[in-house]
Order: sequence, then structure tokens, then C-alpha cells
Amino acid sequence: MLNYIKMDLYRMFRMKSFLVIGFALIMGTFFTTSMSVMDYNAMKEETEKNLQSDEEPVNLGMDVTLPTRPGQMVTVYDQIYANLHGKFIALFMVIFAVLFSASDLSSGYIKNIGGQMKNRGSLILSKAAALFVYTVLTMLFYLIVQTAAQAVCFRNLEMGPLKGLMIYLSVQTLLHYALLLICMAVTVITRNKVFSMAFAVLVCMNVMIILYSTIDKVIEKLGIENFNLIRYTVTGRMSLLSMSPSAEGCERAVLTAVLFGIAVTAFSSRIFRKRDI
Amino acid sequence: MNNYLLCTRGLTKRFGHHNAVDHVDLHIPKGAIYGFIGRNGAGKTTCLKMISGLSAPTEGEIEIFGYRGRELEQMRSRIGCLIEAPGLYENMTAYENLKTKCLFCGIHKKGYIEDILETVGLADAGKKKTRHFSLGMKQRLGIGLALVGEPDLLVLDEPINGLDPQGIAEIRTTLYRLQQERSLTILISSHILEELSKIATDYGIIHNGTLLQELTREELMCRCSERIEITLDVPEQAVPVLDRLGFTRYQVTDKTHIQVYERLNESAMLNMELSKEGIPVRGITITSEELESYYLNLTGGAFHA
Repeated sequence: MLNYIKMDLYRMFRMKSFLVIGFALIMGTFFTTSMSVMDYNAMKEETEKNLQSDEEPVNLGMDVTLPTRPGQMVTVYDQIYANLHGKFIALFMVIFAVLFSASDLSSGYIKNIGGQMKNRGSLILSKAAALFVYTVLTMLFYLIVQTAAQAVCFRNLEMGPLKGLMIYLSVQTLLHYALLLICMAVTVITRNKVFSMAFAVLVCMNVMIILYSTIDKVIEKLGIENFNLIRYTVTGRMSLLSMSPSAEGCERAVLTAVLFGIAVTAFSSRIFRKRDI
Repeated sequence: MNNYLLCTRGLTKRFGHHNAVDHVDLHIPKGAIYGFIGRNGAGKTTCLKMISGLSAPTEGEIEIFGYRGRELEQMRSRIGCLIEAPGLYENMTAYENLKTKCLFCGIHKKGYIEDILETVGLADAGKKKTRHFSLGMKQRLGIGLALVGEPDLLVLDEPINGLDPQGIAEIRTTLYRLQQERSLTILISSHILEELSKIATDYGIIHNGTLLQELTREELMCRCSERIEITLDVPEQAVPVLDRLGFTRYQVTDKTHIQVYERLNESAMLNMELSKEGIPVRGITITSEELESYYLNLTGGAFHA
């Protein structure tokens, strides 16, 4: 198993998309941070003129909004919260997860190794392990890039509460990892890169909300009130995790990530083992 | 236990109601280069995929190295394969592609990758990405990948497909050298019998999923080489005459024919000697069959590519 993980890590670090997506993440982070400066200045002006909008946030689509209250300093934590909660960073990560998961299938490399294993399903576990390394590295990389972007765009560097930031970042890392595993499973099961990529991007764009709300309505008609499916999904937990999460909130998010992660990995591993290459 | 390195019994693969491979019984001796011949869509690749462990048989059994079923799963690492086109990471070099497979196999020996590159004639490939490789280079790298882990059985699916004559010759030389130096058993499929005949020691001919015939190189050559074909009522009567005349390479092939594979210019003398002995000769002709026409006759006519 360790050999398979080493192989997957080796090819992961040699993928062109690894570098391209890393570069896009830097550009994206600087772009959103610079846009935040404009938002922040506009918000200050509105506060001064007492013209604050009462508009409800739109749930569908990507929403990267600073949680900073008027008059407060924008911190790195605020930026991280906005980007992670809005699934902006997840968007880059899921694209890589799909490309990485599909590369051995689409290149045909799998045929060189698929027949030589006692249990082909182990290849899915090794991909999952490689994606874990990728998730952790990307989150650390993003933390550094975001800090740099904050210093450059806002010309000051306020990190915010460090303990809260670390807890939030850790729980979000786990949730992002679970989302990557879901995308990996979709890629392995469908064997269709275009579909998997579209699915991954649409999930980050909150398109699933349409499905969730439909299911919620059906459940409500069955007599169960106040049921919100989004609370039990990985992307829902990513959006709902607050900046100062309670212990219970963290536990629920971790539990959701772990359950989804194990379920989709086990399922895709089983399918991959049984299916002809 | 038998003398074969690989044998299959009733190997079948069904897709819906279609039998892609239908009760195939292959017998591949140890150290052989087994040419698996069939038209496009005959079931060669499906068969090889099952042997390589990439696909599960619907019915039947595969025995390799004397192991079958779950026991065979443990032995899969002793099989190297190149199925269909070579599966390569195109953004990587030949070295990196081999390194990936070495990591998979847990091989960290210094100089191991360089040796394989040397063996398949890619030692000079350098930092060139495989996307810039010619088809021949890709095929050779595919063979190199199959060689990682020192397999005892090499399964190659149409490795000369799409290659120019020089590329075909290079692959042929590489395979011949591997078989000689490493005592590998090689199962190689192709729809070009003429090319396989230059290296294969044994043959299996498959058509519409059914194995039509298995034969050795000698048997194939006998059937295709130029010879004197004598038609007689009782061929056994002619045997003492042939022996007396010093013929050694002849064969009674059926109830009315003897094939003589030597001294083809002496057919008239042979006819005379048989007549002298009072053996009625119904016919005596010099005959031969091209490999390709032998194959086409066996599979029922012209190609349908």
C-alpha cells in the first residue's frame, strides 16, 4: 500500500495541473483580496452615509463576502473565512482532484499496473491518501498566499484570533478533503472527466441547493418540519461553519466529513475492484 | 500440474448476449513466444485482458505458473503486460514513467531504470516528454514498463500495430533478445501472421471468439512450405520406397496424401519409382501455401478490417 501511495504522490507532484492550479490559486487569491479592498471601502462609505443595504444574500452561485463589520479592520482570518466559506478555494482543489483521479484512467497507465495487484481497490485508497497530502499542502499554501495578499492589498497585516483561525482552518481542511473524495469517487465511477468536472464545479457553485430544497419540501410534506438537508452535507457544513464555531458545530462538521469520506472512498474502491479495466 | 506456463480452460467473456471470447483453451509452453493471431474484433484483446487480470472471465479458468483462482492473484506481479496502446503519462519522460512503475513495484535499485531503457533502446531519450515520442518509441517504452518487476510472462497486445517496417524490426529484435536473454515467455497478439512468423515459436488462431487452431512453428511451416504432394490410395505403401530412395523429411498427412519436404526437383523420379513398384499414383504436384493465405483459408476468406 505504501508503494502505491509513493507512486501516486510522485505522479501528483509531476502533474502540470498541480503547478497551473497552484498559480491560478495565487492569482485568484490576490484578485479576491484586491476586490475586498474595494468592497471594504464601499462599505465604509455606505456606513458613513448610513446607506447600508438590507438585501438578502443570494444562495445560488459563488459568494465570497467579507464578514468584517463596518469600522473593524479586515483580518487574514476574515479573508480566509470568506474564501473557504464561499468555496472559492474548493473550486481550485476539486478541479485538481478530478484531473488527478482521471489521469491514470485517461492515459491508460492503469493498464500497466491494474492487473498486477491482489486488490485493485487499494489504488483508490492510495489516491485518497495522495489527495489528503494535497489538501493539507494546498491549505497551508493558501494560508501563506492569503497572508501575502493581505499585506500587499491592504498594506497592513492583521491575522485575527489565531486559535480560532487554526480551529476553523483545520475543520475546513477536513471538509474540503471530504469534498475532494466525493469528486474522486464521481470521477472513478463515471469514468467521464467532463461530467466529473462539471459536477465538481457546480457543487462549488451551490447548485445542489436546488436539489436540497426540493428534497426538504418533499420531507416537509411527509410531516417532518424544519428539516434542512444542507446541514447534513459536506458543502452545507462548509457554508454553515461559523467563524467562531462551537465545539458542537466542529464535531458535527468533522463527523459529516469523516462519514462522507469513508462512505464514498469505500464505495468507489469496491466498484473499481469489481469493474473491468 | 502440466508442462505449460499458461493454459486456459473454457475461457469465456460475455458482453450481454455476445460471446466476445467463447470457451478458449490456450496452451502456452514455458519459454515460448506464442503468437496469438486473429482479425480485428476476433477476441484477442479481451482474451489478453483476462489473462493479464484487467478483466474478469464470465466463465472458465486461467492457470498461470501452475496457479489458478485466488492463488493466481498472488502471482499477478509476475506478469507484465502491454494491452492496446501503451499507457503513458505524456507530460513525463520515459525515465519518469518507469520510475512511477518502479515505485508501484517497490523497486529502488540504483541503475534499474537505466538498464530497462537500455534494453528497449531508449537510453538516449533523455528529458524528452513522451508526448513527443514516435509511435515506435512509445511501444518500446510500453514494453519497458511491462518489464519492470522482472516478469516471467510478458503479454503484448498488437505491439507492432501502426509501426513502419523499421519500427516493426526494432520491436521484433527487442522481443527476440528478451526471450533469449531472460528466458521470458511471451504472449504476443497480432493480425499480421507474416510478422509473427518471424519470431513466434507457437501459434494460436482465434476467430469470432473461438480458438480455431493451436500449432507449433514447425507445424505451421510444414503446412505452408513448398513440398511434393503425392495423392495415393494407400499412402503407407509408398513409405518403404521413400525410405529406400533416402527421403527423410516426409509425412503421411491423411488417408490419401503424403507430403515430401525435400528434393523438390526429383518429383518425376519419385513418380517413376512408385510406378515401378506397382503403386498407383493418382497425382503428384509441387504445392505450397503462403502463411497469409493459410490463415485466411482457416478464418474463412478475406479480411474485414
